[in-house]
Amino acid sequence: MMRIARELLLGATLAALLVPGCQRSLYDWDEYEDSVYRMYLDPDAFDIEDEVRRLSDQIDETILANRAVPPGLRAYLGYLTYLSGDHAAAVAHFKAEKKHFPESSVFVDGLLKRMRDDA
Amino acid sequence: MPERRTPKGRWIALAAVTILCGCRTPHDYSAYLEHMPRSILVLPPLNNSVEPAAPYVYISTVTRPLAERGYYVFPVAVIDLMMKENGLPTPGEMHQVSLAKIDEILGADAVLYVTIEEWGTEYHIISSTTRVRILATLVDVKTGKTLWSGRHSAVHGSGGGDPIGALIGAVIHQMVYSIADITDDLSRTVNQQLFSNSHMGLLLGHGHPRYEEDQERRRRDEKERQE
Repeated sequence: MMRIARELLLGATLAALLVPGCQRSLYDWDEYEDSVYRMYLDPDAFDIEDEVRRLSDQIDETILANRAVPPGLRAYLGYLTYLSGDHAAAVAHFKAEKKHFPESSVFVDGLLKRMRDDA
Repeated sequence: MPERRTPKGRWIALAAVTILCGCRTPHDYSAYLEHMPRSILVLPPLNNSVEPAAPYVYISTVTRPLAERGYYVFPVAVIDLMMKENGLPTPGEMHQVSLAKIDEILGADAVLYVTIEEWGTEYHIISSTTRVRILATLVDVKTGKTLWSGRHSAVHGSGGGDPIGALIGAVIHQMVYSIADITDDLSRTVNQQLFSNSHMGLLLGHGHPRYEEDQERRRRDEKERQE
C-alpha cells in the first residue's frame, strides 16, 4: 500500500515537472537590461571594459548551459567593444548577432559598413 | 393598439445573446495578422511626465517582455546612441524619422512608439502613490498602418490607515525602496500586463514556441468576429 502511494507520488511529481505550463523564459537575461540601466542612470560608474567583461562572461555561460542569448545583446556588446577600441572583436559580435538573428541583417550590415568606412 | 416596434421576446433574445457573447467587443487584430512583424524597433519614449530619467528607465525594461513574446528587438541603447550621432538628439526628433528611412537603415518590420504619460510619486500626508502610465502604438514599417495600440498604468501605494503605524511604515518603506526601484518595477509590470494581455495584448511573435498555435486561434477568432 505504502509502496503504491510512494510510486504515485513520484509519478505525479515527475508529471508536474514535465507539464509544459511551467515555462522557462526563452532567453537568459541576467545583466543585459541592468547594463543598459547603468549606462543611462549611472554613467559615472559605467565602466565600458567592466561591462564588456560581464556581458561576455554572461554570453559564455548562456551558451554553456545550452540556453539562448537574447536578441540585441551581442550587438550591444559589439557596440561597447567598438567604443573600447577593439574593432576586430566588435565585428565578431555584430556578425554573431546577424548569424543568430537574421532579422538584424540590414542593421548589422549597416554597422559593419560604417565601421569599414570609418577605419 | 399600435404594434410595438420590437416585440418583448426579441429584446429578451437580444439580451441573452449579448450576455452569452461577453461584454467585450473582440479586439480587431486584422491589420496585425495581415502584417505580422518578426522584428520590433523600440524608440526612446516621448516623455510627458515630470521625471527626466523616465525614458531611460523605461527603455531598460522594454526589451525583455517583447523578446519573450517572440519578437526580435533591436538593441535599444545602440539605436539611441546611433540616432544621437546622426543629429537626432531627442526622442521627439527620433519619432519623426520616416518609416522609409527606418526600413532602409534598420530593416525593422514594425516600430513601437511609446509615450510616458505619467511617471512619479504623489506624496500625501501619511502615504504616497507612485504611478507609471504609458501609451504604446505598434506601426507597420512597410505600410504605415497601426497594427496595435494600448494604454496601461500600474500603481504602487504605501502608507495610509492608522497614522502612527503608517508613518513608521512609510519611513521604513522609503528606506528600503527608492523611487527608482519602484518605478523600475512598475515599468516592468506595466509592460508585462500591457503586452501579454491575452485579449488586447501583442500577438505571439515568430520566436515564440506557441506562435503557430496562437496564429491559428487568432485567425479563427478574426474570421468569427467578421461574420
